[in-house]
Amino acid sequence: MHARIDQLLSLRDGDPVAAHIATHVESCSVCASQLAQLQQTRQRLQSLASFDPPASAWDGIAERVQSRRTRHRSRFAITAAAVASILAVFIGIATRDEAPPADVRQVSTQHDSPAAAPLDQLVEQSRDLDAMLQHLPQRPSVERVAMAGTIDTLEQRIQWLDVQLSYAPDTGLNDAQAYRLWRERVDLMDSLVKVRYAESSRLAF
Amino acid sequence: MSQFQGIQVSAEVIRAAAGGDAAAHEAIYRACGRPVYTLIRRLIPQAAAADDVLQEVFVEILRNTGSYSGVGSFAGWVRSIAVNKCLTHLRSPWNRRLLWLDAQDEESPAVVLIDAMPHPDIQASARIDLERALTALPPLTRSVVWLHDVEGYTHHEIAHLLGRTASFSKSQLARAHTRLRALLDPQSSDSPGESLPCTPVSTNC
Repeated sequence: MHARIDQLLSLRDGDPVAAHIATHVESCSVCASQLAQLQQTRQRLQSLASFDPPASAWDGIAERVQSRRTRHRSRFAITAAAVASILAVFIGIATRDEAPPADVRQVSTQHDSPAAAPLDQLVEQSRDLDAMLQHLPQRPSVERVAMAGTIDTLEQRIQWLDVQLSYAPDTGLNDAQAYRLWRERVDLMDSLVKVRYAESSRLAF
Repeated sequence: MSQFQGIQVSAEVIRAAAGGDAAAHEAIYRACGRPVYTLIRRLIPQAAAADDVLQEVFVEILRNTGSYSGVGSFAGWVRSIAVNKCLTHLRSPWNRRLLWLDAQDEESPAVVLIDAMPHPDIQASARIDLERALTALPPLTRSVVWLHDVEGYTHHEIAHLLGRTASFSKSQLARAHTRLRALLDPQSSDSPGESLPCTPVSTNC
């Protein structure tokens, strides 16, 4: 019986393999040949040509990075007020006479160095995506199972994130942790908007 | 071999970039652009989509340079952002819909290049064949083989990226090589061959 390809790959990569397999490969020309082929394929993959970015790529990147910084500086006052109002909402929720839900994860209270990326940008992006979602048509009464499952999963995760952010003062969420949660919220909201848009586009036909 | 190993960005440039210096931003882009774009194109062969992801990757890198803690190499940090962006793109229901991928069918290839022109240079022809074969793999399988065999990720690291197990990563790698072999040499059997008898390796030539 010859060695399986996964066993040959383990041999190739120096991963643990049963001794009898290693012994067999050493004495079997078919398996040895296959092993050599796998080694060769890896070398060929590593030798494939690289790609140069499009010549115009940097201009687009620079424009987005610089324009964001310019908008950030000019809208600092407005953004700071927005962050303050959101924090005020969090504080308002935290001072209500009820305990956080039992499934709220107790994040580490160890102080991490604060994320250098502006948190307010993520909050702004998240708000923009919420607004976009509001402008989409309501979910239809009849949906494809796969689509409904995807949307439900996204919405449930976003709701969980919102709970985490809402109870931030109680759980001692620091800036770096808050940044990660907002980052995930933006990514999930982005996906949700696109899926809902795709669904509404399908229904338009 | 991963092209990220050759990236050199000085601590001064990183500090300047974190402070928003445009020249430092461009220096980082020039140093990292080709390895990043190569990685993206290997995981996302469609050029238009890859160009979009390239921009997203560098916008995130340049906006968040200040969050690079200095633990691990700067190139490794850059690569992790690029890999995560690529995998997010591939997982996005929106992008998978655009690629006409059936979410349940990992066997469907994303793109198969067609080029009937003969290539007089055998080595060049072999590289092009491998390029085509790699492109013809399903996105997840292609990602695993590239991350493992070229970028040097371990199965545990790949499993963490994909939210799966190391066994899953190993099975995907085995699947990748099985399919590559079938695409590169349709005459060969899929396994070393239950039908082929073991042929002892001669030791007394």
